[in-house]
Amino acid sequence: MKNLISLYYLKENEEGTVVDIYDENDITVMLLNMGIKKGDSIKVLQNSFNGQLIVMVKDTKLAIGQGISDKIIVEKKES
Amino acid sequence: MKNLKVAVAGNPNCGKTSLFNNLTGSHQSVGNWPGVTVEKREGLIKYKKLKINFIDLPGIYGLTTFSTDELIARNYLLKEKPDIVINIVDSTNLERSLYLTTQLIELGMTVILALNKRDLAKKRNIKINKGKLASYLGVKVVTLVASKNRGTKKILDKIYRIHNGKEQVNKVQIKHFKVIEDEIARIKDLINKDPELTDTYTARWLAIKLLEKDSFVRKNIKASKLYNEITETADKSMEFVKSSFNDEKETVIANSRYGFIASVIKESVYSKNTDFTKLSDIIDRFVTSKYLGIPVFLFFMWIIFQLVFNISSPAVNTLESFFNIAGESIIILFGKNIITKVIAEAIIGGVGSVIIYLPNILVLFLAVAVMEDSGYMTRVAFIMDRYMHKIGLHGKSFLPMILGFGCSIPAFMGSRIIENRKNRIVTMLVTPFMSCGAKLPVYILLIGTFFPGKWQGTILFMIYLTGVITAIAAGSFLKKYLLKGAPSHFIIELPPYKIPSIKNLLIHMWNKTWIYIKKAGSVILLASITIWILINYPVNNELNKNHTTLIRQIHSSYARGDISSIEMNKIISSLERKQSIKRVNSSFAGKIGHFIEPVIKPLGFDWKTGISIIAGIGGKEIIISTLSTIYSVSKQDHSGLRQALVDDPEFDLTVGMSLLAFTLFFIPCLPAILTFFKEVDLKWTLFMISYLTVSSYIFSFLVYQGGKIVQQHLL
Repeated sequence: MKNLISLYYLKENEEGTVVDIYDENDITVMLLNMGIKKGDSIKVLQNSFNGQLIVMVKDTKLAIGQGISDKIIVEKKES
Repeated sequence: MKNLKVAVAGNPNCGKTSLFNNLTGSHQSVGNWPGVTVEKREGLIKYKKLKINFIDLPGIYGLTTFSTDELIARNYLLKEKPDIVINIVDSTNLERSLYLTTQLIELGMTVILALNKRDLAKKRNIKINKGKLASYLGVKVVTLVASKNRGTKKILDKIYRIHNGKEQVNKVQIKHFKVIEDEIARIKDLINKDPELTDTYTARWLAIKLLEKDSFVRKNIKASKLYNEITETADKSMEFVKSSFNDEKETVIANSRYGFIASVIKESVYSKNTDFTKLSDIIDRFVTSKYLGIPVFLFFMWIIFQLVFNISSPAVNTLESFFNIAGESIIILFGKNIITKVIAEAIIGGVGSVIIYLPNILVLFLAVAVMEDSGYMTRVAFIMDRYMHKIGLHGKSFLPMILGFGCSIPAFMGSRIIENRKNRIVTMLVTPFMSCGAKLPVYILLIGTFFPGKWQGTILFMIYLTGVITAIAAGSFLKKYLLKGAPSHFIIELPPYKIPSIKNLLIHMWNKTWIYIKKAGSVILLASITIWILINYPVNNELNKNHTTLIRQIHSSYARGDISSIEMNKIISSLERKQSIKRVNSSFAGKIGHFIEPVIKPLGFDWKTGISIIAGIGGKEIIISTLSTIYSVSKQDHSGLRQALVDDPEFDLTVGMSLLAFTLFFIPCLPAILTFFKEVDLKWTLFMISYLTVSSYIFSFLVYQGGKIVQQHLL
């Protein structure tokens, strides 16, 4: 069964694959610029549960705010 | 021979600044990009008889139109058509980095791809086949370690060989998927029918951008008679592409670029996946943690302000005595005349009183440079995002605010990283609460005069902290009532920590310090001389005559033997003091000062401080130089401003605190106000001036009146 949730809910050290980005164009373009796109694997390094995340995408460490983390839909990887 | 134009482009944090410094060394000039107040750095060097002008483009991730930085870079590349673009990329993060590269290639640029951080890539077992990468992308490839200044000569050599035709760059086209290519061809054919369109841009680039619905390109071709036909075709093509990829967004083209990159990387990069915890991750566990983040940040700031005071105080004291002695010596050596008085009182007294705080400024700028270059600043943006988000801004707003510690002008410019206009205005409106480098001397003078040594650093820290908290509170208020709007989205890269290179720190620090010195030699010099004239003129002849008569009488009573020589000298020097105070009071400055005195009296300020505050609108350091000039003229000695304030019974701790508060909250200097106006508009500029004036008055009033009550109860 596929486990689709927004990145917001991933806990520390959990991983997911980007399935969709839920928005008008802006966030998608911003994320593409920073190297995040559909099919990429995202690992959450820190989640303080107010939507602020530190994530790892390939070799880039990114800090993401609430407005964005809740719009990235991922398929959670079972560890 | 014409200079060769070479642009340096790359992502933020990829080592671009280091490379630019390596290439140009000290031959740098700082200016502005046309039309916007964004800093533009250039450097002209000579290499093997070849004159190369390097231009540092803003750090960008792409060439879209979402941020001012990207637009600046894009317009430069399109209009100036540099001969060569050096695209510096992070070897350990090639996929993301090449996204910009593909867009440079699409623009038809001649690209030298500089693979930076080669040492790190080796450590991580990333092997890059340079030859394959070069031929797939149609670029020249060079490896380097910018932080250690390795590979700089290789780049210069490449530029030289390309220019002399010894090496050819076989450009390629970024091939998109067939479906997309077909549509590009269709739009291209249409564009080619109007030759005017392809004067500046290539048809292919225009076609791709029209397909991507790039608003700026659309505006640019509006004059064409084919405008309607072209845009309709482009829209139809996009719909077709979207439906064939089952995607509902225009970003399908961007995805296709990543598809191209993925295949290039597959063919030319070999990396073994090694999983290891990096030192950066361990540091981040503390520095960005939910509970420790803020305390750690405050602790760092506290340390910085301790250093600002403690490291520099011997140097400050030495400089101060030097200027005092210099002022005295000139009068003693060359006698008292108008020239020596201008030099001693206006130039040495005024400008010198500002120059002596250079050591403090140096330490603060160095500390901010270390925070920026080490990568810590982006973490600050992250930890502040939690609070900034609550007030409707985001963490990135905090970055220009920190720049405000240096100077409000770059901070106003730096706020361009905030995409949303309303949020940008809010950020700019609260930036003046971040005490700028020019306010620092005022704080140091007042704190140094009125507080004991061991508390000075902490008091300074508290002042800055008060500013930060006020900025956040004011931001919250403005956002809630005046500039409502959606919060912008926060995303920022956290680069691995690195030890800043001494060379970069020095260049960074020097560029900022030089501005301070130039200001002292121009604006402040001019202000000091103006004030000096205002204090010494008009000459009151009657007053002088009375004074001379009095002195003569004293001399004759000494001659008669009525008083001893000691008594005579005592009376004369007391008369001299009274006379100079009378003279200053009847001068232009004195008259203006007394005129405004009733307004500022409730804040504890006399006319001297009043004049200084008004003059200080030209630049905050001028508060000091003006006070210093007034005191040295009216006291007729050159013992320095600190001593003068201690000797003045009217200027006590409460007045000092009140002036501290006033300086913290008052409007920024004139050049900063003009920058604000250029960046925003007249309405908000007037708003900023009035709300800061009112808030500084209120705060200063509360501090002074509160201080007086405390004093009365304690005494």
